[in-house]
Amino acid sequence: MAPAGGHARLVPALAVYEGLVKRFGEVAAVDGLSFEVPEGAVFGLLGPNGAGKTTAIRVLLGLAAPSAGSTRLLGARPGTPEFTAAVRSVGSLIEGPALYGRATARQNMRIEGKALGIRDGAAEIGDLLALVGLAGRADSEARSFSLGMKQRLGLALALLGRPRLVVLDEPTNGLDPAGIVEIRELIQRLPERGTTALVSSHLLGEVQLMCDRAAIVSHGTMVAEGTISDLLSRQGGSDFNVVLSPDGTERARALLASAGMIVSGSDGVLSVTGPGVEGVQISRPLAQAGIYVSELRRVEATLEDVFLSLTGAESDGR
Amino acid sequence: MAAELEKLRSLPTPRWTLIVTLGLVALGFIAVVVSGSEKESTYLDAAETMAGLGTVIGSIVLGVWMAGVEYGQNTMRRALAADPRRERLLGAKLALAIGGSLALTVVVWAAALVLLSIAASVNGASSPAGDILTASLTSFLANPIYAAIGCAVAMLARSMAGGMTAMLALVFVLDILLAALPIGDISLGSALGDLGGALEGEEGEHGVARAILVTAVWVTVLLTAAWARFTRSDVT
Repeated sequence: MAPAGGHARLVPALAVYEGLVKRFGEVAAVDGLSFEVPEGAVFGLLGPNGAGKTTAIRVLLGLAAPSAGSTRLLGARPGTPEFTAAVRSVGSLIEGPALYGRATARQNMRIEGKALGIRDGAAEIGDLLALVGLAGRADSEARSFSLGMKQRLGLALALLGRPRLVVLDEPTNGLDPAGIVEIRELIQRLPERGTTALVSSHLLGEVQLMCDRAAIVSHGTMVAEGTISDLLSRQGGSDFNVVLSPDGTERARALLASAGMIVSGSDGVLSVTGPGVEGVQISRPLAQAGIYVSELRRVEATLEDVFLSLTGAESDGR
Repeated sequence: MAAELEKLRSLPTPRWTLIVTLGLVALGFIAVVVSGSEKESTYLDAAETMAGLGTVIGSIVLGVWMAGVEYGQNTMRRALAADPRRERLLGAKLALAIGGSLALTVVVWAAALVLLSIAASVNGASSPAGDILTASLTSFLANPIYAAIGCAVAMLARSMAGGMTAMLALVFVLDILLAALPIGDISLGSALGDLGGALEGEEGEHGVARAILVTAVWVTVLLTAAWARFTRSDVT
């Protein structure tokens, strides 16, 4: 699905940030952001609320002017004649769905279609409303929709006209768990439709499941960028949960610590970590010492762990 | 332009503006029929009040709405994310505000002409049709200007409610205060009144040239300010 890792440079970048700076007065909301979104990717822009993600997206789409640096959208810089064509090939959902509340879902889609220069979009509008699960409410006013339904309509609007790139800012906001899974799967399938996705989110777990590449942003600055597996591998050693007899806990702690591992926990449940640690390095010395493990489970690193270790911050996106 | 036309068709405010303005004319019709007046001036006064004032307010509502709807619904970013040409969007909104105002004016004055002629006939008064047609000329000149200014003021206020409040304050409060200043009458209302009077064959208070100048300054200053604010600032 994705042009992962080292292949990224071989495919054209649909969105490019080149040292972007955006200040509001003295405050730099974005401070020197540089990354590229390769064609065919589901690219996550990851960071806590206030990290500068939405500002970066607004600059990319020409809604805000940069203070320094630049962006390119489908190769075009804002303000150039090519930029208009580029924007019209990009769907977006920024800071929640922007809907005309007194218009129906279908009318909202029709207005968007006309703005995009689509002459007869009735069939595509019907298909997209069905895709996001709103076919049965197509002729209801948008103001009567729940937040989740509005979000779905916003997604349908973003996908109108089969855009080359779709920019989705917090696309799962307001959705229930089942809705989140549906939308995640929809976004994951976008490259099959020829649509690259740039997904901004503070939900670290969602990005990990949804995207194949990500840039992690904190306080307007990029702290890491790469494929999800690259980012996860930066976390270093693996964590293990070890369950054993409470009697042997202290002996096990001492034994594993003497082997250079970092051990915490008590009363028969230990958390063990360390560079390059594998399960056998835990179970074998314990067994040789007559301490038998009843459960040994690897705890996979998450983007949240990576984010916290890179920024040293408390995440609000659990 | 197509998207803006679709908004005019799909959203209820333009439709309700027309319905309410026509309702005012219908009320005027009922009132003069009930009055039984045989004076021709009664019918002309009713037309000027119901159709004249009604279409001024209707044009202001349409003009403010054309721009203000995007701020009221928080959809400006969506409009510009579909087509980033801000001058083009502003031009389309202005053109439709003016066009919508003219259409409203035509329909409402036509209704007034028909209904009040019927009312005069019912009451045995002579037909007011000629006077009503002449009186409508001021509306055809002034209403599109009010609509364009309303659009500009909403762009400046970046708000539907703020634009409406500012526009009503401008037309019904500030304009009257300006007319009272000792520096000479520079109010938009007086200038449009003079121009309308000239169209109707009346002699204006301050002369046509001055009225054209005052109107042009109002329109130019407000549209330029709206254009500058809209094209040069970030969209939230």
